[in-house]
Amino acid sequence: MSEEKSYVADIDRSIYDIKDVENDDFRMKDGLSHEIIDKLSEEKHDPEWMREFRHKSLDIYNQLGVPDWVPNIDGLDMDHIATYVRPKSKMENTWENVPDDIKETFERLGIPEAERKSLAGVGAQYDSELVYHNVKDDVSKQGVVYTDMESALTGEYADMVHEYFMKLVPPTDHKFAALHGAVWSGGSFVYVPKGVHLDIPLQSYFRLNAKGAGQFEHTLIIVDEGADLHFIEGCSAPKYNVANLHAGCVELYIKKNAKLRYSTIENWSKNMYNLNTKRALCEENAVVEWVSGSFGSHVGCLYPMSVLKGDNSRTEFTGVTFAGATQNLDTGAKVVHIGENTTSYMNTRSISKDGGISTFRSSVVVQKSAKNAKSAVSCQSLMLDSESRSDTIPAMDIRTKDAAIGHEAKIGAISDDAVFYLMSRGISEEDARALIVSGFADNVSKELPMEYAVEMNNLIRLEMKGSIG
Amino acid sequence: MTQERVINRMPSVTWNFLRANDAKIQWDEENTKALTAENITAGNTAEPVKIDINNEGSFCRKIVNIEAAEGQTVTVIENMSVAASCNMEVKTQIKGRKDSVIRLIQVQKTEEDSLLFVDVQCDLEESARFETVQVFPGKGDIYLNNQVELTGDDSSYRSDIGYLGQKTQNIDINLVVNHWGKRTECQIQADGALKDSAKKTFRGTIDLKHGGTDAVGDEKETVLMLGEDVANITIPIILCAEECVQGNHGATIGELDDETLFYFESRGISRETAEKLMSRAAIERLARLTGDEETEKAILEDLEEVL
Repeated sequence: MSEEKSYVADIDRSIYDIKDVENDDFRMKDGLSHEIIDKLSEEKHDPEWMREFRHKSLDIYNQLGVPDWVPNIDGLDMDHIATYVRPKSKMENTWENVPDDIKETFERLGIPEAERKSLAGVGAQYDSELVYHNVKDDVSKQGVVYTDMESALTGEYADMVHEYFMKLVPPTDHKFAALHGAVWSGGSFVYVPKGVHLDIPLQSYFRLNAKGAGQFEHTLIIVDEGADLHFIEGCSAPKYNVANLHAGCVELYIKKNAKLRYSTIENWSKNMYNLNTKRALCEENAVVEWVSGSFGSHVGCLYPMSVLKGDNSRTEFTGVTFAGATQNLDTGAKVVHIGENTTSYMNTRSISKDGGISTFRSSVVVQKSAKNAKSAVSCQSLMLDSESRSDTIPAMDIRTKDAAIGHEAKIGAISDDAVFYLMSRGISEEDARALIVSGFADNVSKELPMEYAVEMNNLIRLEMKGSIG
Repeated sequence: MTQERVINRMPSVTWNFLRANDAKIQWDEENTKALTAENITAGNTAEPVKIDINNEGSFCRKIVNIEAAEGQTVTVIENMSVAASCNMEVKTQIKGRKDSVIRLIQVQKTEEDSLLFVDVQCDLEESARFETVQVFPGKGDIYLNNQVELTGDDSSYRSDIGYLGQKTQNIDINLVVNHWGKRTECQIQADGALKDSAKKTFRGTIDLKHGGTDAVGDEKETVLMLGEDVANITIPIILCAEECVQGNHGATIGELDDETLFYFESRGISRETAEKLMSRAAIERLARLTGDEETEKAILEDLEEVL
């Protein structure tokens, strides 16, 4: 316990900000065009259907406009974004074979250590490609498939990928889903067979090192009937003075009686435009739990969506967003109730500081078929100064009388009394405020495995440094 | 010729797939008849100023200006009636000077296949107070837009809205309260019931502006869903650019909860009767709030007719 405390005190932002010398095997020229799509498809050895899919997606991207409700993304110029950067490393299944500079980056981020201690499998993506992928033998023996998307696309699971790829998030969904469909690369494919329960999580970590590049990984997870999985996603990047873009896509299919927990600690650098799309489809009695911590990015738009199609399916979303200087983080969740007796619960915390803008945005749609649906949304926001903003924009669209829907929202400041109480017991004002903010965000940290909860609290402490005066 | 007119747009919009960022109505501006405007300047009187506003022609607009001088109190009751196939806009513009109190009571009686657009714009100086009681037990489509500027320090606003939606009625509400001054307060309470195929949209925005320290905004909504084909959209927004403020929102949407139902049933009251009682309750509460016997009686009579 004391070691953990010293670890918290000693953490340094530099572990996220170290830039490796760019030593790419291939870097696509900046911009977006059908010529670039052809080149990307060639580099990725796509099957023909995927090449066509990419071209159609680009056409959709060119037709769609940026929605009028999103934060300002004028600083993002696709003409200056490289959509594909392949590192000088092929995918390995032992860290020893990963090039030293890349391996050191992941070691600083604690990924190999976490793998040894508490993970059933790890995928590590560097720029546009996975450089490491490994799954424990006993997990493989249970029939669990955890591999990179490219291998899945052309290998044994090609038909399954074809059946599910971007069916839940079609390119027509919005402009950046179309962009993803056009230029995606990297990401993970997971299949958990019927009845298999994984006691420890799988993790994918995404690192974007290349300046002025985009990362467009695709995560496709299928949890078959009665199975249970916890999947963890982490991401970070060093800070540059030009825009980087992340437009990943996560599609989760949770079959009858299955359960999936999807945890994310997002710590992109503050020049990043994080325009990510995540969606889950729940069949009968299925459960999806989202745990989300958003700390990084210059502009972020992230609203994991749960489609409760099966009767008795349910979802929980637990999230915390910390918007500091130069950040505009628009986060929240969406849920659609279709099946009978479906349940959704959202519990979020937002913190704004040093001119940061935090927006909680949600939608709960209860269709006429969703008899006895129940939904509760609770969002709380903390303003740490008057230079910041905190907005709450929830929406509920209820189409059946047989539903019970509740919503509550609160916005306020740190209580002076609470700060005074802690200071009267010898805690400095800065530590008192950090402690209160950590407590405010404990809805998320208590849902995370210990190592990740510690990392999240470290991030909060880092953000709170210098918050006095 | 009618053209699409966009009204009730939220100051901060959200997903377009919800189709709730604003409302669109068909309006014939060229052939809109301007009804005689009313200008009310308040004197301190216990008697409310009553205005009957009846539609004339297919499209008409009535403007009511209310100004309460410093320290004065005024109550205005607007009784609005719209005949079938007619469209009426009632725009009430209010200026509350320092320490004034303005109560605006709006009661609607509309026929099926009619449209009423109620637009209230209010600006308050220091320590002024504005209260609205808006009762909609009618049959036609209702569009309500309340824009309140709490400009002066210590100014405050209280909104009570009650409705009973039925048949294919569309009730579309947009409230925006801007907290500019220090120590400003607003309380919004919207309660109603939806029957048959009625649709209701409630957008409530509490905007806690930078500099408006120690402001408090509070909104609560309860929607009782009674019909098989009803639709309810609720978007309660809190915008906050100031640290030392409080913003709260709570909403409860659904049919009668088990606890309430059990209470009624244990007293021999059937579910159907309980639902009727509860759907009356929101309107009856507001009828009493009007503080005017004649208005209260008229509202309850209308309610009987609708129920």
